[in-house]
Amino acid sequence: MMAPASARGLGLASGAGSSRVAVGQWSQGFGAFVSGASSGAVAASVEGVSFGSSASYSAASSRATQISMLVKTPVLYADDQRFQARVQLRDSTGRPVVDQTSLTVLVSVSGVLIGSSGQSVSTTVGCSFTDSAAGLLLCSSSSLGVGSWFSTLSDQPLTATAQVVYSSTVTAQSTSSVLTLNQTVASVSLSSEGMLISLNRAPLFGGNTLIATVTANTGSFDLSTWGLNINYDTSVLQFVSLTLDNTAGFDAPVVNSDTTLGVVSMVALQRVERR
Amino acid sequence: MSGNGVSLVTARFTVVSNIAAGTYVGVTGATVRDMVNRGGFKYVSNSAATISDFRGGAQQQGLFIKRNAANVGLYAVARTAETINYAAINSNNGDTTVTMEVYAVTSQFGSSDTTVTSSASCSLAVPTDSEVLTVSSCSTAKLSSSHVRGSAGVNVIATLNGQQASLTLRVWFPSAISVTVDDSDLGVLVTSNSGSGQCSSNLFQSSQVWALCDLSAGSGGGFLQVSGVDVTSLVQWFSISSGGSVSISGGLGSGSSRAFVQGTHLEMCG
Repeated sequence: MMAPASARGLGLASGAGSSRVAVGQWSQGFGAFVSGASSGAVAASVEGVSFGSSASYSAASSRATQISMLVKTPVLYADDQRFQARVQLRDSTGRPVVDQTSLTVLVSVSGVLIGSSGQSVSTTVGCSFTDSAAGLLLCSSSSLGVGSWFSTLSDQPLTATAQVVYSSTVTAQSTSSVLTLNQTVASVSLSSEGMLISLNRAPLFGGNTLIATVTANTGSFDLSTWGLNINYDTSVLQFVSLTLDNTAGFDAPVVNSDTTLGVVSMVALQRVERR
Repeated sequence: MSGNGVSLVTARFTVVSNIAAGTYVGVTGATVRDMVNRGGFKYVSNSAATISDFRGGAQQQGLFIKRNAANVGLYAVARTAETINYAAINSNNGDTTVTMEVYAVTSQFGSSDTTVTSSASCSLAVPTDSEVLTVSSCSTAKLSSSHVRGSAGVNVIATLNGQQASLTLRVWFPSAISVTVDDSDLGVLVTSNSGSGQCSSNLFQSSQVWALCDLSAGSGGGFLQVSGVDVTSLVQWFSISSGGSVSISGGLGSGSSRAFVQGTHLEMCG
């Protein structure tokens, strides 16, 4: 008889006997095969005597017919358009290992823009297997790139749907999830000489980075030297770094950071060109 | 350098991890100590910088919103979603266990899914599927000799904090086990065997014995069946007439021979 030697399963003999194909060689067919896993090994025994050798096999997988999705980032912000979703595939039996030949899995994001335009918009995010034995994929984009879809009037609702595509044909799709683009606020512009510090608008998790971008309005003057003190609450924030914008033509600022008081002081001088 | 919106520097701060979720107002502010032109004219001195944050508009003190990762849902995995009840063929084969896993997906970009197999509770979507398998935790489904049928799809529901996930298991169940022998007519080889062991006088041919069964999954419209499954190595063989008599042809008389199974061989001795 022949039976799976690992990945416990059953070989379904096509008959009780085997056929001789050559001297010392016998053939035993499987009429069907119920395998305990997507791969394993088969071994033969002759009249109850097992042999040490075995042959590996891979069970053919079926196409994915079921797909489900959990959106990790259900709300996007104008300054944080990162999107991520967990997708799970199964075949018609419920097996997680599916045929990956000509398979594409993607998330389609679409909606109708709020406002007078009523414009229909859509984009897609690609997905990659993270655990093919479990049928798991991660669909991820570091920026959805939909800045123009945000509204200053209200939140912008969208729908996200995960799709199974074999050879350009959608064969299954998940139930739709709501994706919200958070209402944006009008940007601030200084009307007189001074400095503007722009902070993240998207909510932050512990360990995330609060970014403070400093710009200046010089009015009718030029700017040769500037000094700035940034104060912060040390119970909720820790200073990490200061990065000069090289386009402004200043030398790296002299920085003094007092992490006890929560003050970052800096002075910068216009860069002197040396010939 | 002059104009409005002249980019100067970017400061970065890390949000402390162990603070509570909420809106933190007044966490940062800034004072412009001075802005001086090339002629040495200080046209801004000790002036509060303007802050732009989540609220929009010009602010004197900045805020940020701290949030904690929340579970957006669960998913359940059975890497082996199709199996056979071996114990129903022979309880000596032991129970068949199916390993299950349950994960929570959190609402944070780049975060790993959290294993919640031990904290979630799992149950059968259809209670009568307890005839197929037993789910006592989210880590294992068990198929034993006490179960009485298979199923094309048993739905297991995992629940945690009001969120649910499901997985489907297909279970094949044996029935109609039959025994066949390669050679049902065992001829005598030696009529006077003086050797030791099982046979003390007449020695006969032996024959390979086979056990076949059907496997079925489901019932009604979802009924699936395969026939003629070779389960020779999975059944327990008993001597069919241990110490008893069998009918012997060929003029050797009757009542003096016995048949028994040795391994997967039917043997007969006189």
